[in-house]
Amino acid sequence: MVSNEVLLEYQAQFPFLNQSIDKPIVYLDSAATTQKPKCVIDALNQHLLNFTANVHRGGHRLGREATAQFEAARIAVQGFINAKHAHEIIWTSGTTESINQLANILSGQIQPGDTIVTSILEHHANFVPWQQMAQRQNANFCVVPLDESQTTVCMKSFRQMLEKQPKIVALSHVSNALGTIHEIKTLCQLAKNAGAFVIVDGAQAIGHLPIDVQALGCDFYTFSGHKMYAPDGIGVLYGREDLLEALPPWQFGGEMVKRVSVEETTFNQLPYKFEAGTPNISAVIGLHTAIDFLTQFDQSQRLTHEQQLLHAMYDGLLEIDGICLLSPRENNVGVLSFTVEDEHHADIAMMLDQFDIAVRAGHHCAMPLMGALGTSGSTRASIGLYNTKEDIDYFIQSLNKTIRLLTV
Amino acid sequence: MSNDHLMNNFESTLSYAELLDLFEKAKGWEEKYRQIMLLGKQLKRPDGSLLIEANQVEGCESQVWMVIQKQENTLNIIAYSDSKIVRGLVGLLLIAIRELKLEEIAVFDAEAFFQTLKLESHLSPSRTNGLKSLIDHMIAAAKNEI
Repeated sequence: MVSNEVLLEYQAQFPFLNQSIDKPIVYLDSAATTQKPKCVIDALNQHLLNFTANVHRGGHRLGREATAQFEAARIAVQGFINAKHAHEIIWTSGTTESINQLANILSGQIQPGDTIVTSILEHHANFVPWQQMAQRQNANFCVVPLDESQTTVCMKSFRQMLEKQPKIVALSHVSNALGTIHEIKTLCQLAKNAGAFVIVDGAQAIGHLPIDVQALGCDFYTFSGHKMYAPDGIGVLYGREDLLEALPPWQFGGEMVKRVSVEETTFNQLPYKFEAGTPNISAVIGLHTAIDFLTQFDQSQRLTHEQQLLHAMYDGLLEIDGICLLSPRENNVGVLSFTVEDEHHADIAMMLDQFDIAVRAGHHCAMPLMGALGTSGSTRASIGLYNTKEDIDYFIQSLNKTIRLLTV
Repeated sequence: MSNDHLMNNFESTLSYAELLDLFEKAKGWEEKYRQIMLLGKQLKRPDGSLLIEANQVEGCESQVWMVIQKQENTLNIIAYSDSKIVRGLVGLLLIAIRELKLEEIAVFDAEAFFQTLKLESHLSPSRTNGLKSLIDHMIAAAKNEI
């Protein structure tokens, strides 16, 4: 078990845990968005107070300082995911924009009859852009089904789909609805061997797991800041240098051009070619602070803490009559999705809210998965590094009461 | 609006005054919830032919179906939800308008009604639980029939 001191060290950094204005909330919705540590909030404030200036434009002192901090953040992200070059890090507004941008810039690579592969476990953000791309380009849209465990992709079907030599394979590192950590390295390598562009949606992995994009061997990796204790409105599109060099820009405007005349436009170098307009500068700086925040802790200790809570929650849920767990106990970042016999997931969440517990209910933006699992939705409780064993005990106890209250 | 009168699916006979009394006496939120759940139990699942997309109102987390008919000088509302709590809230609403004429339903103040019961804010009509749409449709139907 993680020592009390370590746990207090985690908790002390989150002002939301010590709010006196309202009753304390047991926050079990970190898969939706994480709470923000004080250092991130302070970094945003400091930037807005002292360094507000546009980046890469003005030659003045403020502009230089803002630009230096902005580019230092890019280098921090490069290190955090072990990218080869800082210019392989493209700022976006979040995972959703990263993937939509990819679906646009890769359009030219897809001919009618080509194959695009994704999985039934994807968040809509890594499903709909590819489905729409396939429809636009008259390509085949292949969806890898669940395996027998009903928690991850079927490797056998995946291998069969690779025989069609897909142009694009887009998969999540971790399922947002179930928390499952997929065999992403194997999946990436198989897809690369088949000659596909390989895209990984890392939104649910980034706040928990160590990420090494070179070891994974993917072409593109995407994630959002707000799921790793950073501000919202900032995300990353990592892309391999040679591919980003060769692909066309998607959005046009300021900063992304080298020269513009009436006759033609030439584009700026990487990464600016893909960053039209003024970026979310303060959030970029907040993201850098969040990386420093996360890396100050021992990574394996942080993971152990989350895994212990996950297992306590899993075992607690198993003891409740009528609970059906959709998530796996192992290979899980800390997300438990479940249904309760004869109860609506919205009722469970509404009642837990009454106990000041924040969970998510619904289809979790993964309607194809919910369909495959034969349910309209589930209740999802997810863990962040600030959660405690007391939170889990209170959650299990309140869920028992909730079910009792709902069955008058 | 259909002309064939449908059988009402709400079996509670509680009057508005009795409802107010019940909530006045309820000690704490758990008791209020219990009353809401009991009311929801009396909202019976209507015939499957009514639970179709055409009768669905916009909700987010739970689904709500409804059919509104004019009945003499008031409205006959057949509503249902897949959520037990929302079924209970629908029950509250049906009691609130039970003794109202069309003209009164047309100016029904749902916010004031839910405030009278001193319910937690998340139990008030919202886009999320679909109750807001149900009330909007109900008021529009009443105005239309005046």
